[in-house]
Amino acid sequence: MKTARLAAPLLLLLAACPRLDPMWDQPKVKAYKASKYYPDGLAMRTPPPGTVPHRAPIEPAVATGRGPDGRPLAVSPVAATAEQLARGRARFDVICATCHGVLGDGESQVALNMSLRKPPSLHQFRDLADGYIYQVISEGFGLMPSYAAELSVQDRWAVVAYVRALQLSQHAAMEQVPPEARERLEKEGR
Amino acid sequence: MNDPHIDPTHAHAHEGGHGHGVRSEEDRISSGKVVAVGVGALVVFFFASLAAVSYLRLRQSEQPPPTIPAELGQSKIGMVEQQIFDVAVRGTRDRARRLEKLGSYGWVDRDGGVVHIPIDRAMDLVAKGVRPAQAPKGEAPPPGGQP
Repeated sequence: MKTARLAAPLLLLLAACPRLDPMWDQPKVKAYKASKYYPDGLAMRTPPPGTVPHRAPIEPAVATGRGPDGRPLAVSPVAATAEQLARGRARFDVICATCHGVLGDGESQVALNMSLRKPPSLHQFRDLADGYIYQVISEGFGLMPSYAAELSVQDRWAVVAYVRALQLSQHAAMEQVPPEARERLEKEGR
Repeated sequence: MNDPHIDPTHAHAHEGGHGHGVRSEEDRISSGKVVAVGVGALVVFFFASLAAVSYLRLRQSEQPPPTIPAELGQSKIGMVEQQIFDVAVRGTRDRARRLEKLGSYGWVDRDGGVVHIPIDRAMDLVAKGVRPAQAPKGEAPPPGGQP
């Protein structure tokens, strides 16, 4: 009886050993590793001739934000439709506004706690090319990491379009204000 | 001469052999009793805690509700700055203020003729091809250009 009492916790301890987990060692190949199953000794295989992608290929300019000359595209290659802007707003509010703020002015609760370098206001970058903003989202800049994993290519261009809308909303000219609102603005002070 | 390493009383006791009838108690610990004492202590502490909580609640119900200090809400009480304790409220308040600015008309720079407009209107304008001031202009994107 005593042996049985001792055996129970020992069995539990054995179950905690990761090396006994059958999923630990799996007969699989990893990228850039050697493999003894192929004559050339490489685990990664070249696709057979005639292989085609199962999704439509993304044009290099759309995927990278750079033109054929390697410079950032001045204007987004993706049309800024109402749907695209709405998508960009939703993604911006979830992903970007955390640090840059809902106004894009770099004022947020997270920014208050960033002592090393605060996120900049997006309104001071009105002169940057659309492709440059896309590249910053894709590759990161300074303390900002890449958001390519969180935002698909389409989402990134949607965010670029929404950033343009944000910049316009906080830096608009009087001609862009409807007459009824213009009257009220003219009456009120600064 | 007596051996100094032998306790005389102990040696004397052995002289008589085991016939004196005195035997030491067997050195065994009863696990059941130890566990019973532990469980008993837990039960006692549990009921004691219940009694203490009931007593404190009874005392609290007899007291009048605490009054709000008159200094509450001031930015500085005595020599202690209170703003740093207001972070959670400030976050909500600031966000509400920014959302209000994001959805309204107002002046940014009256002398420069710069205003802020609701984001919905700005999105409509951008969808029609309007770009913010100083933004680089370029060729219109190809129709249906989707990634």
